[in-house]
Amino acid sequence: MFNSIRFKISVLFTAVLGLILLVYSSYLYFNLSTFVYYEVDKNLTAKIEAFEAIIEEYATYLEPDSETAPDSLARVIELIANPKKEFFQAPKIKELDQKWTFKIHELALKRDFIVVYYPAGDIAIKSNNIIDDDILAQMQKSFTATPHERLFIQDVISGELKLRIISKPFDRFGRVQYILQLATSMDDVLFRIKRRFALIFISIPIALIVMSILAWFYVVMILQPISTITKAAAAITHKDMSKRVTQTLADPEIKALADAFNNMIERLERSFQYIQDFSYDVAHELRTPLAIIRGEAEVALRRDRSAEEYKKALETCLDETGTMLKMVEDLLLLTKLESQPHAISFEDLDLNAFLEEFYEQVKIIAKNKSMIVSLTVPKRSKKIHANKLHLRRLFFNLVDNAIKFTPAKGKIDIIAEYENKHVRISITDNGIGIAQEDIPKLMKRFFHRESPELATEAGHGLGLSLVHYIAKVHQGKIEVRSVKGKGSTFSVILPVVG
Amino acid sequence: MRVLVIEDEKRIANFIERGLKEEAYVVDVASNGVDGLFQATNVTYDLIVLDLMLPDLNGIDICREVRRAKVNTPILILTARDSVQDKVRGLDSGADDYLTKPFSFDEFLARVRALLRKNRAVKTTTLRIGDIELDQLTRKVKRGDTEIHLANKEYALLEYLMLHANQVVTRTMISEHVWHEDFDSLTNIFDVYIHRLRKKLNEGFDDQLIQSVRGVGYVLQG
Repeated sequence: MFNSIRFKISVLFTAVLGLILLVYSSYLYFNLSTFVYYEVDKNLTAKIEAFEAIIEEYATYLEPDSETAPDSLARVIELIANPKKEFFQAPKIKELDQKWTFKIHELALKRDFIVVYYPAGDIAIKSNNIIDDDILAQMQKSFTATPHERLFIQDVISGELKLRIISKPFDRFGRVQYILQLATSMDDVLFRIKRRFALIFISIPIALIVMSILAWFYVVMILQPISTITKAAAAITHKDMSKRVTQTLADPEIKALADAFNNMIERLERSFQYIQDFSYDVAHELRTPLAIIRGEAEVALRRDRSAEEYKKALETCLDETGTMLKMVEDLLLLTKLESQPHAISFEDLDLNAFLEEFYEQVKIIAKNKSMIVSLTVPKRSKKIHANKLHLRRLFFNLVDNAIKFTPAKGKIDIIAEYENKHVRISITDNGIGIAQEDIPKLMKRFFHRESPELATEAGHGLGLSLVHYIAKVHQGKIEVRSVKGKGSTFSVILPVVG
Repeated sequence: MRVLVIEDEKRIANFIERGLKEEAYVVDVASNGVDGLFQATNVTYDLIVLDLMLPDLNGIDICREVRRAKVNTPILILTARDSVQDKVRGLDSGADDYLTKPFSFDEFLARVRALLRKNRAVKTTTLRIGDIELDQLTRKVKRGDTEIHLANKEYALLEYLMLHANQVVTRTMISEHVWHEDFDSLTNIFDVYIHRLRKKLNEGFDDQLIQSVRGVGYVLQG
């Protein structure tokens, strides 16, 4: 369960999603708080500029020249800081007061703390809402740390209150007259940010749980074809290999898997069929000599016989045993050639010397059937890379066939000639020939040439298979040309070394 | 009893022929399908032993052809093929029995006997006509309680007469089923054997069991 692909993929999906959400939320949080501070600062700047503007207006009206400035400005400041406390009857003042009152509402200045300092540091005025001494102390502290010639923003904490303070020098007649300071509580803003993010962070686990469930089902769904394949694989045994995975609607990847699986079964089925056919053939071929041995022995034992008759029966049995032994040996060699060709050792052979030695042996065999054998070799001998024993076997099998399928007093020609980087050694007889349709089947195991007149001459059906495989391990090939009734030519084409 | 063996493997045909001959059967061997089919359809046999894998004709086809030619001789298929499918095909093509190589010769002989009594009313291995008793297994012949020793040909002749008791058995029939057909049925060799057989059977008895039908053949009266 915990090791299953379903589990792993679900966990992976969930983890990746969790990480993405976490990173994204963090980014969002910092981005949003930066934005909020920016907004707050913009707001603070706007407030302090509006404050400055209104002072400027009052001052312009009340203090047209620099001489009287400080005193009257002090009045203005006081007036501004605590509107409606004092009342100027002048209509212009009334208008300015109304404007200021309106501004206070518009900019929500009532909740902000305002302090105006003399450049020396003394407080000129402060808004009435500063009751807490600590707030004033914090604001003064901020003022002390403030460079007085330009706008400055700073965060301070007073008790549980988070304040953002903006300070701005107020210039008039070419010098700094006052320092305006405005502090606003950040609690509201921070609370809103926090609440938003609390919501986001609570939603993350919920998203993850939903995601993991969805991922689980999704993975189950995409893995469905695999379980189909598993079922099909489980249904396949060596007795029934006909089952295939039929997954037509699957994804390309699963389809490729199903195809590969089907192909593998196909190949296995073919191999099994091949082995089955092979075992059947072997069993079948061994049956005939076994039947002869058994029958011969049984018939011999049915009654008392002369020594001569027993001898004959035993000879027949021995002959058949020899046939079987030869067949088994050839089968083993065939298996070796087929399955482990690399285990065969090779040496450089002088072609002419090899053929001449072989020719001497063949002459003796051919003599018994009064046949004429000839050998033609190229003038200049080349070397071939070969296993002498196996190669001799190859040529012997071909010549043996030529002798078998050629009536007495026939003629067999062995001709070797070079063709580019190869040598072609042809063995031509003037025997009974092979039917065209039989030529492709010649190299198959246990293929017997069905010639009634020579049925008894036929071997055990492995000779040409051996020829084929020996040529193959020598990187060579066999070519057969034949005309029925006229004779056959078997050509062995082998690569030459130099 | 005349048996045709159609088998291309010389050595197998050889021991079957010898074994059957020793059991007093008359045996012909055909080493290929064409000859086999010709003999099976042109000579009257009591049994055909047929190999399925022949170099020229398929055994199954031979079987079909023989049946098509209205020859009802029992056919025993002898082959190295042992799959159920092969057996079914062989039997369905008209054969009566199927034996796979390598086979026990005793079993082979038992199947031959079984097939030979297939069309006979009494399906025992002991034949009884009058007081003559012939055991096909031991090949012992008794008249009453007296055992009579017969040579191979004499036994085959008596067996054939007993199997066709109360019928006239012509000289041709005898030449075909007890001797090879290449014997001239006009020679007096049958008379010689009939004479010997009569002598052996009648020793100590008065009645003449085998009677001659002039110009036709013989009859064994039950």
